[in-house]
Amino acid sequence: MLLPGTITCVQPVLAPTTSSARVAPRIAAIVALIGVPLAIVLAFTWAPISTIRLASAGAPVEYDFPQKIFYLHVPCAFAAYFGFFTGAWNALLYLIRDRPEYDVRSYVGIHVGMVFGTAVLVTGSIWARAAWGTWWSWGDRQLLVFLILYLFYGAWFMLRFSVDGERRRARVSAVLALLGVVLVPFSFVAIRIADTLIHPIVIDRQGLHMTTSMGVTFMISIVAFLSLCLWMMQLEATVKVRDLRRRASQLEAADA
Amino acid sequence: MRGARVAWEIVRFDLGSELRRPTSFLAALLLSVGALVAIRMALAGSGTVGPSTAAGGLWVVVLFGMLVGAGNVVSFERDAGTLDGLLGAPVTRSAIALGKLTSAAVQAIALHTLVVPACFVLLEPPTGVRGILELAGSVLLADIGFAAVHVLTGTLSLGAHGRAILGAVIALPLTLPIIVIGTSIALGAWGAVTSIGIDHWLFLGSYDLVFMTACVVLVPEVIVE
Repeated sequence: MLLPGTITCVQPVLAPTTSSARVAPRIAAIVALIGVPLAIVLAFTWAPISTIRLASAGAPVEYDFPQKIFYLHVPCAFAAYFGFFTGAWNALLYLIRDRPEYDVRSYVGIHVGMVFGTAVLVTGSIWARAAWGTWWSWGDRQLLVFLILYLFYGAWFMLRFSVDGERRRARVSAVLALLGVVLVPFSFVAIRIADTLIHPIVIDRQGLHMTTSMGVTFMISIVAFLSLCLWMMQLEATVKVRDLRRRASQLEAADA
Repeated sequence: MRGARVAWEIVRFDLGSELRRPTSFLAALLLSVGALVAIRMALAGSGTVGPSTAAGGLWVVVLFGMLVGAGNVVSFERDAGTLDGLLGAPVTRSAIALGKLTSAAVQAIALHTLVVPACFVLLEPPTGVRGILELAGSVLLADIGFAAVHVLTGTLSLGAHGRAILGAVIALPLTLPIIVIGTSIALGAWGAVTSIGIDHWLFLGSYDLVFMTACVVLVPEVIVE
């Protein structure tokens, strides 16, 4: 006996009906393959070592060579948030439409988000060591917020792998992924209300606090890493959906 | 109206069971007081307890007491074999969620009515009546938020392997924003910072409201099967 919705959902995932669904991942792959190396080259050859304003101090602070990691660290954070958002959005779609394709995409979004999240924590620690002389600062709430999210999505994986039954697992995972969206604004507000902030702020209401070369490199880096994230999600989703189809075929054969 | 009556019946039943056999309440109380004693003993060499240690100690104890005690109101039903009966009753799932939420919140408040004064005795009393009221208010609001999160995560982990620990593990990151704000308020109550703004209270109130709504709306989505 097949699970409800198992077979009906497979075909649209495997064979996207719209041309944009076929083209978008290819564009993302091309942009990522060109953009990521370009951003790294520009970061090390064109963009100067910057002075960045600290939120607490107000005065510009001169950074040394490790500041170059900024072009990796911040885009990775954007990509991680993009992955988490994609996961939550597909979780919502799953709850509304009850099609396993959305569960797969939700899982893939959060999985890729965690990969970039790990990169954020590692690169952030390296930068913190160079800039503040410590690998981690418990006084910086922005770090804490990201850590909270990272722990939350770690727990999300624990729950997902602990629940038996595909439909139940998908439903429980979707609800928890949506709670992650609720957690993000609360965590951000908690930072703002609570006291110290030593994290550098390069984007605020006054705009970008960078030179032109820095800004261009930064933007290229952001686009490149978001494309990389999108491409990775698409690759993983393709494999997962193929697996879903194979299992569906096996179930169909057994049923017959 | 009917939903509220059902919720009230669930609260009465849960509290009655807990009064007859206060297993989880006593476990949470012992854990909380034991943790406070351990903190005090660890600090015995230095002789003094600063505001940071007192604030941190209080919130660690509040958090872990919740994990052991009132946080288990949903998994308790599963362990006692009464979950099917509850779900089979002609009541809405939202009413069940509301009842469980209220039950968990009442149990948490009862627990912390004893634990917070114990913290004052074993660690350090806050500065003045205002400090005591601020702490009591923050713990009260936190308990409601904790209860909503624990009912939600307890329901999510119902069908999972190792649900007792898993529910707590999922709940922990979700409750960390409360801890961040709660410790800020506690630092104010112990005189480490000058004043606590209205934004702290608005934050706790909004958190409670959002997660209570999430609990009542989302629990029926996952408790069905």
